Amino acid sequence: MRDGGDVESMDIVETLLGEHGVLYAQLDHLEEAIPQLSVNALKAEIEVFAVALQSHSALEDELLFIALEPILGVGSPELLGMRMMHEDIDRQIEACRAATEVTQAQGQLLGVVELARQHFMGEEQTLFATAKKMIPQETRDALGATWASRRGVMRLMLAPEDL
Amino acid sequence: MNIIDGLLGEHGVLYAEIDYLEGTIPEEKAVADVQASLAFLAAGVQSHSRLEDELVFVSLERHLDGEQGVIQSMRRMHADLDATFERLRTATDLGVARDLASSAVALAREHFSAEEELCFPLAEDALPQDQLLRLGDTWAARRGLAGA
Repeated sequence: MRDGGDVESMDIVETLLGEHGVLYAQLDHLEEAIPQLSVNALKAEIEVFAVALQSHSALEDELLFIALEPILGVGSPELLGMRMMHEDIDRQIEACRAATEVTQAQGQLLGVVELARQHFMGEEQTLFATAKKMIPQETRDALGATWASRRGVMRLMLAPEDL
Repeated sequence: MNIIDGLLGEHGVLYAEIDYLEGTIPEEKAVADVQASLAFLAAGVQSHSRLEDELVFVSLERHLDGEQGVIQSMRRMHADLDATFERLRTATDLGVARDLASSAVALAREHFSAEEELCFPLAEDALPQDQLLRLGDTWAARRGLAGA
């Protein structure tokens, strides 16, 4: 949604920033909760966390990063770096799932939390800023519509007088 | 950025968590596991509700004249969500915990849909664009986004 009251358009970069926003609060929660959790409780939390984080990474890969490939180059260090971090996060989640001791599971999960936080900050400081500058608004809006459809967010928001 | 875009982005990732929990809650074997699964969602949903309350709803109440019903209804849903999460935290019976967890995820989904259909369009219509952008800056700073 931008100037001019165009309520049908959503910029992919802003929706992904929105996802970061709530995920930061959930990372804070995990950091505080992890020392008190049993192995089973840790594993219950990591599964919900994994769904959120990995679906977020998949949408970035499939929508934003692919749109940046013709601009930055498929092998650009920025894109390679972010994709490598997605793979590192996946590996750390797997290691957390495999942990059998509580201290091991706590350590693995804290590692995922730290890595996710670093990754989000890196995207906000570099890749999202580049996307805002280099991808045309129309393309970002089209990608935002695809994001909304994939996430099940209502894309076409009716004006109150139409309800 | 417009605060509504940020809040819709938050809904997006929370829907993915809700989808997952709807499938797994009936299979949980221990109260503590149900509570742990829902604690992660609660951290997201309750911080999301607080930001809506403090930023969007307060601003809307100042601008709306005679259309407070939507805001009152949204605040009531936030309170219902808080109460359900709180009851789940103190549950000791597995069946009760599963029922409360199922209620929380259903209520969260219903609430997000209501916001998307009613509250967010109302905010877009009633609040000036520069205010929506300023609220978006405050939202980004409160969430700790880099560069906010």
